[in-house]
Amino acid sequence: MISGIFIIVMMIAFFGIVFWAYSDKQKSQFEHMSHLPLDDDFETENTGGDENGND
Amino acid sequence: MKTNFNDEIVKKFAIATVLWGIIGMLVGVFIAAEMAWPLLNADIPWLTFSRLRPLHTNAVIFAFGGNALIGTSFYVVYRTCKANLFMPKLASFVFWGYQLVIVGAVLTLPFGYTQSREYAELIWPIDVFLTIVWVAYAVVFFGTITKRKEKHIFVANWFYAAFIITIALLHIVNNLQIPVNWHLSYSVYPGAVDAIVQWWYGHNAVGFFLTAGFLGMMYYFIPMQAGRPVYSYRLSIVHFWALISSYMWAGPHHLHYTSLPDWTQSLGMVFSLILLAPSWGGMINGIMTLSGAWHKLRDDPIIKFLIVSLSFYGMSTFEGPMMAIKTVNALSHYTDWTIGHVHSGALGWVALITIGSLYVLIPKLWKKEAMYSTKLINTHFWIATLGIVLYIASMWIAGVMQGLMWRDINADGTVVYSFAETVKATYPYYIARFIGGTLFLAGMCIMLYNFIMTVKSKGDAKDIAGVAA
Repeated sequence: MISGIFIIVMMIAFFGIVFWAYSDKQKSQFEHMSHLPLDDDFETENTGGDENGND
Repeated sequence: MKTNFNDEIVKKFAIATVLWGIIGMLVGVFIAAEMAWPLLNADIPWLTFSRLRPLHTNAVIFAFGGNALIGTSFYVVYRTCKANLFMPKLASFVFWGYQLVIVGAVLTLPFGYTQSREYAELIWPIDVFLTIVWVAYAVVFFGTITKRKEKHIFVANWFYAAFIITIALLHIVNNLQIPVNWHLSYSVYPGAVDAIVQWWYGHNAVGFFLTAGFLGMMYYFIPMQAGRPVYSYRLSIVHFWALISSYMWAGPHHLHYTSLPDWTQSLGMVFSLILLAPSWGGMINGIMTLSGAWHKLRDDPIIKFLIVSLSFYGMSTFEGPMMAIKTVNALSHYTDWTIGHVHSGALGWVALITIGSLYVLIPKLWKKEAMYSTKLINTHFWIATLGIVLYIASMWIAGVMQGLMWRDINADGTVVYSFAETVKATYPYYIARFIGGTLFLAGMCIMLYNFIMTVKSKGDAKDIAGVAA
């Protein structure tokens, strides 16, 4: 019984993720995320100030 | 001028990856030679196949693969979060601690100190230390994620995160042992339970170490080198959750036709078949990232490494579910087909994606325009690919042949071939496998040379970070 309920809950969670991933709301954010590997901005930012005390 | 710590620590991991890779593969080539010419062990116990085989698997999986994963995960997490690594000193501890674990393996396995659990051979004191190192690794990785300047967590980090969390879980549960003295311990699990815990560990090490971790690498370095965004970010999310929720249950396919309950075996088989979908989701997403830039597959040998690795990933994740079908497994299990399958994944997928990513990473870390020689990368690609094909093709033929010979029964119920006859029939394939492995190792040596020459070269990239400081 409990394992059956668990399976249903997990299935709903998975389809929820699919629904969320394919909703239009996320489109622009995902577009931005998919370009992150091409982003070389941090290099220059990193040498400017060092927030972390890299010594 | 301050050096960029983030890159300094990744440099160390890059060097360690190549060096341990060569050592681990050299041991592999040696034991492959021992299979063909057993006299090579010279009657010295620590040179025997039984002692060196775990050294080979530990060195290539955990030393070569592990250093590649930890190093690239640090690089990817700090770049995509646009934040410096959390607790740099702890990150250094992760590097040196991890190397110490590997040295521990080198100092124990050849001398017969082992837990006798496949891929978890290390004795308990090393296991305890590795747990500490791993927790430190998790702190650095997740600490960096909490500092991120992006709203979302980039998909590669999800894969790396799944790898870190699951390996911690697998390592601890599978190594629950009661120590008797400094090197000997006994598992807390009895009989068949022990077997299923071991293969729950073993298969998820494949799933989360050799798959999820390297998919993280794939989702960063393929777009970067191709100069194209991730093909479908939606698909990456869906196949991530599908992959991690189905992998956990596939382990029993390692124990078909054993004392494991029959329903457990069938469950393992079904989940192995389901795994095909999320695996191919990742492969398609990676290969399609090249859409609009297909010419790079012809011009850029680094892209060749990355894309061919995905082809091998697709092949071995098709072959794997097929071999998990009980009737197929009845033929393939305990034969060299399994060894062929593992190496199509390990050399074809894991090693090629690592090598490709390192060729992208090395010039960036050492602030060079490009690798010293693109021609040598191309040579490396062809010699490695040829080596893999020779290796897996010979093991496929050997494996199917062994399976067929073992099951061949006379009318009176006796076996047609003695075991020694099947070994004799395998001899030429063992030599072919040895040659394939040697070619792959030769490729790694070319890489080391190219690596050294790149670091020593004077052609610095124009946008040298740190000039301003």
